[in-house]
Amino acid sequence: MKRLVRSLPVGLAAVFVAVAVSPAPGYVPNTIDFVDGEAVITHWAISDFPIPVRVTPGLTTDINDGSDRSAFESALATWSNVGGSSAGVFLEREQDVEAGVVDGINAIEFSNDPALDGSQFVAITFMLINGDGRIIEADMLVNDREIGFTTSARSNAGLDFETAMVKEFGSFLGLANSPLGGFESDQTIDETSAVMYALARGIGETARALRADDVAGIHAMYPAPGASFASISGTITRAGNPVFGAHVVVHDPIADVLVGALTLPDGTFRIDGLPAGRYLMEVLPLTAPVVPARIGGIYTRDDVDTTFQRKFFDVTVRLGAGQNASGFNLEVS
Amino acid sequence: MRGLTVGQLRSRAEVIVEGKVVDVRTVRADGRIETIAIVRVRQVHKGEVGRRIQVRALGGAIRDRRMVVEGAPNFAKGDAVLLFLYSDEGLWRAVGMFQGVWHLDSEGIVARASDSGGASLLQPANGNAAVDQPERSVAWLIGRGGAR
Repeated sequence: MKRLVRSLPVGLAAVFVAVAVSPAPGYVPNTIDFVDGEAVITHWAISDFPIPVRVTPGLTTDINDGSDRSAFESALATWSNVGGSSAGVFLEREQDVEAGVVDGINAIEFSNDPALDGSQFVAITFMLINGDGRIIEADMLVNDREIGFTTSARSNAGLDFETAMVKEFGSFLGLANSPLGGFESDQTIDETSAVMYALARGIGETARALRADDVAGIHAMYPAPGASFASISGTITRAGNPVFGAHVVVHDPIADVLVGALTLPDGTFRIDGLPAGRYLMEVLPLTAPVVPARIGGIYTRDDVDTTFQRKFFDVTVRLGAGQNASGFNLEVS
Repeated sequence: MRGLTVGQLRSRAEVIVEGKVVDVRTVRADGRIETIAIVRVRQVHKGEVGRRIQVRALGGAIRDRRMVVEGAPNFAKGDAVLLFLYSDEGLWRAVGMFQGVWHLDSEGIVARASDSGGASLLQPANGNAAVDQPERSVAWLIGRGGAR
């Protein structure tokens, strides 16, 4: 991430051609399929908010001082209190629930079942969707047997409980893994990396607050009535052909806002939910450790292009509130 | 989800097989939606299994509804696969969910790790996750000379 910030001013020749583009989703939604040429994105209907969840009494058995409940509610509030977004999730009550069962309850189950031995997952989100991607019910199974949670930030005693819940509730709301992130020299995840970054935070790492990429995602998916955000859209091509799975990142170095999106198979991208600002642009391929298989959904297809050269564009896009800049036809090689 | 090293994949698997997915079905069991992949076994690298096995995975589609599950492996009819499996109450499931499913090309070479299904991985404490390793030959995955 910091490498991007340092490198951006060293731009190459800009290609700035106004063309008509078809709409495409920005940020990284959970795009699971295409039906009749339309992307199927998992999403809640705006009218579903706020979404009630029921949770296993006592939550995690790793923490017995009640701080896990506070952290859980804080994680819900993190997504529910984003200004300009209608998204909201609230704890309806504690009761014995079973995740993964189609029962009309959005269940958050903390399981200590011996059957989890060796499974090593932190949490799994289940989403029941209909044909157009609308989420009808979502559940979460939290591994309370093997992981070891803590609410002491930076503690080496376990995984930060709130960090894990914030990430998982991003999935619950329909956001996919984001490629926007990176590592420090000691191999810990960079502080500026998106909460939804494809690699999970480990012991001693925390990400309890949303980053600009996460906020843009939730703004774009669930804008509040009357909310108005800026957007940038265009097409990425290589030798004139559309590039699928290119990571387009915009950066406002003054406000330190970094937001990204991936191109669709037709090469189009759209970054929605942006605050007003002056943005620089970069296009880069998905590379290890965030390979296409880490993003999931349509981005695991074999035709994702990961072989083009990373490229900076010395274009500064000035966006006022609610303004849209479209028609960026950016060529990579 | 915690990433599994290739050694953990091998040791946790009761059976390791290569085969072809000849059918995929979705069932509802105990209120859950699950996918059953019928796999015709071509080669057994560890354990003992019949020539056709059923591998279960969370999620699947029934009519116009679909259960999407983070980390669950995806199967499609015709897929050539290398599978690391364990028995769960008489059913075969992939070790580490998507991490136990590898797709092979027409020449039997590992083409790619399975789709993560949107799951994010914690790096294992003792090495890199198998799915993040650049070297992905069948021989490397099963251990040189097999893992019997």
